[in-house]
Amino acid sequence: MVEEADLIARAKNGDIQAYEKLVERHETLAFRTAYLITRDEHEAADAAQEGLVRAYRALGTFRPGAPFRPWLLRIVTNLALNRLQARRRRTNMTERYTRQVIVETGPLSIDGLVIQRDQRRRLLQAVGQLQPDQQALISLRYFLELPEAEVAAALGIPIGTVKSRLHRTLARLRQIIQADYPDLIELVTHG
Amino acid sequence: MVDQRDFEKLENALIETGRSIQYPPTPRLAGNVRQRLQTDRAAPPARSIFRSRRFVIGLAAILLAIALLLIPQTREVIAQLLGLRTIRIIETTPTPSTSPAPTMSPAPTPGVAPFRQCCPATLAEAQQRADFKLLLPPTEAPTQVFFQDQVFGRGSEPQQVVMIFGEPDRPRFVLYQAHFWLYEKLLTADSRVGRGTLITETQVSGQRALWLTGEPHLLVTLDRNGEPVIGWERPVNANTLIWETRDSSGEVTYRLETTLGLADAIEFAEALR
Repeated sequence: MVEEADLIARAKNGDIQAYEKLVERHETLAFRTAYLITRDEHEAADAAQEGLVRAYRALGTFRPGAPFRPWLLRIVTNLALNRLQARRRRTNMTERYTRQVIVETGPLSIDGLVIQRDQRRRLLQAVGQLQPDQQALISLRYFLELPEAEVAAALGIPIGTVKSRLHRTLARLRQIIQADYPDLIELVTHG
Repeated sequence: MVDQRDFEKLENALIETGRSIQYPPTPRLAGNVRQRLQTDRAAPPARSIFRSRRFVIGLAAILLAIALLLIPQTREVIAQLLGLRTIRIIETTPTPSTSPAPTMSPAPTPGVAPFRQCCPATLAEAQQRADFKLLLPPTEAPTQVFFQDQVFGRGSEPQQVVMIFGEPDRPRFVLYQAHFWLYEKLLTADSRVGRGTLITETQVSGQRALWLTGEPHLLVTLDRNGEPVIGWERPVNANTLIWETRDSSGEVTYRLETTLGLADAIEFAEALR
């Protein structure tokens, strides 16, 4: 397999085929990141594609040796957030989100706590009540399970800020659950 | 992973929910991107910098500097990156024939301009919404407070709180407290906005600080990509003390505008708690 650094170097010199191979390695994560933020398949495809094109044109500013994936995700995340922000002014997407990403698997067990399908749907609804940037944070850290350092790079903030914002976001999500989702209260209680 | 045990179940539930999300099939992005790049006849990225706005601005700045250096009367010196971590100062300063006093008053008419930007708030609101701890003087409450976090259109961007002390139309102090915010001070060749601002290093509570005094300067707010935020320029015809701190929530930049001298500014700054 060709080294990523080699593909980046060739792409920097204008080798579009090399860049295409680079995109193939990251397109799924780029698309899913955009999808979790925009909650719309077509918007996500547009945001991811635009991000990949912009990333190519910005390769001249990419620092050799730096990890490519978080650098790319930062571009895609910003574009997806911009699209979400624009669309939120037009329509409330919360219900659409939970319908589209509704899970179809059976009950899951977490430390003896069974999370039913309906509970997962309700948890997604609760996440949908957070601010867009908070939803992006939850998506990157928990839904895509990216390390905190990569979340920090993707959002363009220090890792310490990721930790503090995660704490505040989870606290806010707990408030939402306590207020509006009594069936999920077990997720935010001790023991 | 967040440390608090309070959130363990919630975090696990989010992870498990994420794993069960059914994503739409990933579209054929690689091929589409290649086609688009070929159709657009995009220049190779290594050369794309020559078309960028930043390059054009940088080139213009270099040409301006060269032009200024060619004028014997001005003998401008380009000083750059005098700044602290989140302050960038790009300066075109005439070489002084004699060293001015470091605490000279601003000219021509010193006075802290009333703050006219967005988002008035109460102190309690600002304290509740800020991601970082707001500092206050022990014996004086601000007469006005402004909370700003939507400059770039999203809640995830840096925050800034501005507090006015004294009469709002003639403030004694204007204190900026900014979380992850970039400023840039541009001293242009425009006669209205200073060519004679003096920058000296000092300290606030043992930390490096900058003291800007002399002719008026223009405060430009930059976004996290280093681009000026349109409409957020603020002419400053006052002395300005700038320093930074770092706490668990990250870096906080402070700017204190005042017509008072350096000693008074430092006394005010070091009393903030």
